[in-house]
Amino acid sequence: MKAENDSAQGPRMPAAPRHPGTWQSLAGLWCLTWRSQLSWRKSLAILLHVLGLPLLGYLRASSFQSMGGWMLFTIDLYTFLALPLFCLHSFGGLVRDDLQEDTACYTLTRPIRRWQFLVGQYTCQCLWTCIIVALTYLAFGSMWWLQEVEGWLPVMLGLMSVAVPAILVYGAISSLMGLLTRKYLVLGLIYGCVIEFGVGQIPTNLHSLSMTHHLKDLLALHPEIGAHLVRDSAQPWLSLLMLAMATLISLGVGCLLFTHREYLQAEDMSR
Amino acid sequence: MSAPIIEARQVSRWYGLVMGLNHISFDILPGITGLVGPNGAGKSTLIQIITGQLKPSSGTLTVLGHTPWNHPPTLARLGYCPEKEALPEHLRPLEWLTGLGLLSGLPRQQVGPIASASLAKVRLREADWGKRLGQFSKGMRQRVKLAQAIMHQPDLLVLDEPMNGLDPMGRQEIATILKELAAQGVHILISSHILAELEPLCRNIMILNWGRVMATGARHHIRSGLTDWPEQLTVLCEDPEALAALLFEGGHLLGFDAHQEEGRLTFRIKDPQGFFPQWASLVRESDQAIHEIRSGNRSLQTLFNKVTHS
Repeated sequence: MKAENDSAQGPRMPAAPRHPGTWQSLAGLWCLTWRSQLSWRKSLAILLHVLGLPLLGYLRASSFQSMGGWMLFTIDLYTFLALPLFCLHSFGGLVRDDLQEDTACYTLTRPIRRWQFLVGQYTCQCLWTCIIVALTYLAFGSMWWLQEVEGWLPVMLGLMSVAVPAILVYGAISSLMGLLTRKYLVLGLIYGCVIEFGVGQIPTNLHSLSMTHHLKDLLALHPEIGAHLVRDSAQPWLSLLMLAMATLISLGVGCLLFTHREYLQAEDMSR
Repeated sequence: MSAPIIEARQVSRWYGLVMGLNHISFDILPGITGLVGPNGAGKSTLIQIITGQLKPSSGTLTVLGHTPWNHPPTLARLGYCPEKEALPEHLRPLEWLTGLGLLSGLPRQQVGPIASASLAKVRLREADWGKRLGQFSKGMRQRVKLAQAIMHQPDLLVLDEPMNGLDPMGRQEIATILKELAAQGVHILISSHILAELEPLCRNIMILNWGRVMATGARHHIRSGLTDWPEQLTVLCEDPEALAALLFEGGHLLGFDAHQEEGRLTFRIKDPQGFFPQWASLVRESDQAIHEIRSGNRSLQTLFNKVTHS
């Protein structure tokens, strides 16, 4: 090929390796993910997330009779309310945020399959969310330590260990919601009310549909926490299986959707 | 003749009831090609299909021999600089380029130096490398956008309005960079509203209007194909009337307008293919000094106006 312009430049250097491996694409996405989380606005939101509820709990500490009160406050308000909402917000916007900011075109035109891109984004967001959630539980732990609550360390570690599957499953479901509709927050709230808080509380087999139900089963495995949770017949392996299935199915459907559906201005223009 | 780098066959694209592209077929040849058209002509839609961001509703479009949608080997050979100004506001240019470089398959050890070299190539001042992208001016944004498009040494560079927001000197610099890249063998598809910028860069153009390809190919071929639009020349000479008489007697003119005092003759040519080979001998025969010859309707702007009836 010969171009029509005749600038006195030599031939190009041989091209760099063309395909990023799995780890390299993850490294690239991680590089873009965590740095973009450190804006002033987002940093403040993170600070509020990490310290908000622990401080609120600390201020209300006098009303808690025991470690049990404190723990139920943490589990009910943070693990099964604030954390799912946080996941809905951050994972729902996994692709949507970039689309809204018109910056998705820079990453979507890179040599990476769309499903790999989505899984990479999901993984990076999981990692980031785990860090935030770990910091939050550390903040809870610090409050317990300040108040000299007995046996706080195993409780904190127990909550942290269950936070990982919680982030994976809530994150996958939220990602799928974000790919399904721009109004993923509304969809997520409806899902939460109907499935997690509605069906999940009904003592029939239908409650297997609720991820909260399975996560509580896992929490009950920790003796310090289980003593305060009322669980009839916890089946941890079944719960783990259900959580894994929900994660994989949500992620799989999300990948299929993202591979075959366009997410650029086409959607807006067709309205 | 070289094989086309982009081939489209009966490509249509709908947005609901709105038609973005209407059964277009074309070949884009190697080198620099200008994509021109008024707003809403379908330029951005076409560029998004070429860069694998959208799929055609019908028809086929191949880039470097493959359909670009979800095809990493093709995307690896593409560099894309979008029209939109949006950038990740909180990142610094090197951070952003490093992330994108890794996604483009650049080796981890080399991605930092390559990112720096790309920023230097687009002449972004080193003092600005520490600023966040959100603090960048329009011109600086254009440069950093171009840097991310060229950093992985693509074979085809797709640029959507790359000169927007640049001052004249900046435009000149970007044009020089593009010429250098073209000289190194990079194919470039460049869309711009500012036709005067494309004129010195592109020999090949594609004119889009209302989602259809109005003309495509080398500029002089497009011009020659417009047989119902007579070629018009303006000549500054000593005796315009005498020159007009000579040309008229030779049966070359469709009409003329001579201004004796200004020494200016504007004339429309009957048969450009037959006329231009004789033009030099006709000038010699007229035995007068010709100070300037200007083509009235060969510029990209007039060609564009004629083709799009604007």
